[in-house]
Amino acid sequence: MRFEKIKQLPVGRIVFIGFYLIICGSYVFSIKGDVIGDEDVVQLRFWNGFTGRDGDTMTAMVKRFNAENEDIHITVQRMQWPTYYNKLFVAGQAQREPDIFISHAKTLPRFVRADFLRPIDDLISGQNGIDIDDIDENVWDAVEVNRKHVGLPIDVHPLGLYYNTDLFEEAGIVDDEGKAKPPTNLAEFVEALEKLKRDKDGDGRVDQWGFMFTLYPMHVIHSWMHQFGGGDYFDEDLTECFIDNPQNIKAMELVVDLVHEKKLIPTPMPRDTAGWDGFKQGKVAMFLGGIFMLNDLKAVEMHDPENQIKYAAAFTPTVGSEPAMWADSHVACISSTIDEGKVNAAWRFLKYISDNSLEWADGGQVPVRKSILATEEFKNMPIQYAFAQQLPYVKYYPKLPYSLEFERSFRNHTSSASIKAITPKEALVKIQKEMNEVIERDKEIYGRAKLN
Amino acid sequence: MTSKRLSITLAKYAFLAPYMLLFLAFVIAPLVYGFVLSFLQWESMSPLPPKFIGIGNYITAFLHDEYFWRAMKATFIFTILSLPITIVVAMALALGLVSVKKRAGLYRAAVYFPTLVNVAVVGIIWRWFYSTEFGLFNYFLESPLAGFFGLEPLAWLTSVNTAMPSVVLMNLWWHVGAPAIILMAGLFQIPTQYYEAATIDGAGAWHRFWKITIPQLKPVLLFVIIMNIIRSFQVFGQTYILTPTGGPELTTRVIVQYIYETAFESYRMGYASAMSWILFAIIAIVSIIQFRAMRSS
Repeated sequence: MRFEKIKQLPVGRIVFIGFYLIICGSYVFSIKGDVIGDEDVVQLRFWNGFTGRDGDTMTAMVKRFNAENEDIHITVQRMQWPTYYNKLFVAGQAQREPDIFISHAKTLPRFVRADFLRPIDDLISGQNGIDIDDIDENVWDAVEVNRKHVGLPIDVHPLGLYYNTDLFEEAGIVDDEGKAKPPTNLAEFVEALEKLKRDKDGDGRVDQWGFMFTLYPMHVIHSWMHQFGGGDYFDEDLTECFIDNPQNIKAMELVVDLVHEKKLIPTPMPRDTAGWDGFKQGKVAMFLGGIFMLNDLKAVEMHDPENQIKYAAAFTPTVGSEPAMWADSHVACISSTIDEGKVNAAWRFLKYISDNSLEWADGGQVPVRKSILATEEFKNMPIQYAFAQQLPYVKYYPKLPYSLEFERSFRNHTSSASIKAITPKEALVKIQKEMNEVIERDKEIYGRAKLN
Repeated sequence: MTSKRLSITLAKYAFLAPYMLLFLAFVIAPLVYGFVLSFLQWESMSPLPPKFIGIGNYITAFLHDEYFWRAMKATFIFTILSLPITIVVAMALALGLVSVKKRAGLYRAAVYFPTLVNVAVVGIIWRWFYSTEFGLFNYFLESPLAGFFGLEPLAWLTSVNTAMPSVVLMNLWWHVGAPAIILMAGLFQIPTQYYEAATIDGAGAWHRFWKITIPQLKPVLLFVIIMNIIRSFQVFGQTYILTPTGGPELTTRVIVQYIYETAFESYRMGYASAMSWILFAIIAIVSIIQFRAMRSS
């Protein structure tokens, strides 16, 4: 009788519920083990936007740090940059931001205004600090907001010249030894553009270009404005924008001249990647881009070695009177709301990344520690090393709490001028007008134009 | 109330409850929250608390912000250009789909298929079509045959004159399938006797179309027009992917893009909410007028 009753039990359901409980239970325990963990272990949350090869390098560094530091456990979350900033911002608003996060240098003033960042001056000069003289001055200056350094720069990514050595040699643009010779000034740049623009199959269409803009021409235009002696778009106290000046007009007129008058560069379509794609395919001979593009080239090398182009990197050509090129940095930041008890652990992690930035460089970055830049290992990374030579001349975008508004205005109107929808002068007048309006609005809200 | 009726009543609400809860949480609550925000000056990327400024944001939009009006103008131009062409092409496709007897399912699927593709994918493909130097369209326009007809390559997305029509053209290809299928369903509802009687009376195809098809299709047509106008006012993905900088001279920066930039690049939540409510009011007024017209007809 009893056996009959057992036979009537819904065995399938019991097995299903049992499995369900086991899965749920193991998940709960795994969370406990991972996040709550040992009470002696300091748990830190670290967010970043490194999703490519650089992301793998960073994750590997975090893993090694966790293994070498049993009293600290870092949990990483990485996501695409555009999503990342919105998530970070929303998390910050809800005071749920991670303990440590990466920010671009240009974004720091915004975060300072939102009171998201804990300055690191006391930590860097403390017992377990870093010799400030070992950090490149330009880069260290870029993370200073309101006379406080609000993060530790872990790299710098200046604009640099990638060039296809085969196409250069084919076009006869070579040095005395017959090796590809990258342009260094305007005359050489224009000569290279002329020689490298070619109709190879004779069908009347250009199928090889010397140079193309990719995404937006704004970084190149920013560099050229500085090269022509313009570039400082605001006064020091941020009370006025004066981007509309003759030097900046000259820089923009050069873009229009090369694209529309001399027709040596195709019309730049905003957010177009044809220039970069063309470079990877050997159809565009020169490309001005960041060091982060290197990973993309290495990916081609890995997956399609037979079609890999031969390339090298060089100093951004100086088309104006002085060398200058756009740059930005990834900056490791500590949240302003972090528990005081966790600050030292967070700093140890930041310092670890900085101390080991040779590994970070190998992941396709330029480190900012002079001692690392001077190592033989770094000198053996030819592309990174070529980009690093530019550090004394790098020009970041201005430090603005409304950096996104500036960037949007700069990007939209310089793009319009580069496609000849408006003149360079009109573009600069528009940017200046918009930014002065932003400054006025800012003054009304905050009572002053400067940060905080 | 008997227990049976009570349980039926409860069941009705129980079925509705999940949707209503989500509707309240994700539509009504943000709508009300946005309305409240529209009266505040809230720079959300700032430690300053939100400040009540009455209708200040609305005044800024109407009187002091030239970009608001330029974005509204771009939105109206998009709507004015895209509505007639979408309706005419959708109608033509619907008439074609109704008359096709063999492999009708295949043709319907082909017409509807583009609407299933994500706007980002469509945008990226069409950006290549429109590329000045490397694009598919200019490849054909550069050919000797095109030259024979006097056609020349165009600066599709980089000229003030062609940027918005280019967006409209892409939108047409992407979106026309949905109204075409709805109109097709409407055409199937028209009794065939009407056409037979008209044919016996000697009415030609043109007369049959204007005297039978259009009047009989009026409710469906009005529905399609209303939905298209609402959709056109809300256009964003198409313009943003094709012309991320707002096109040459901001000719394709539509109002939703401007609202997005104001909220998530300038972090001016109050002002962005006010502009959203202005857009909402415009769409609501246009829709009410059309629904009234529909009812009276």
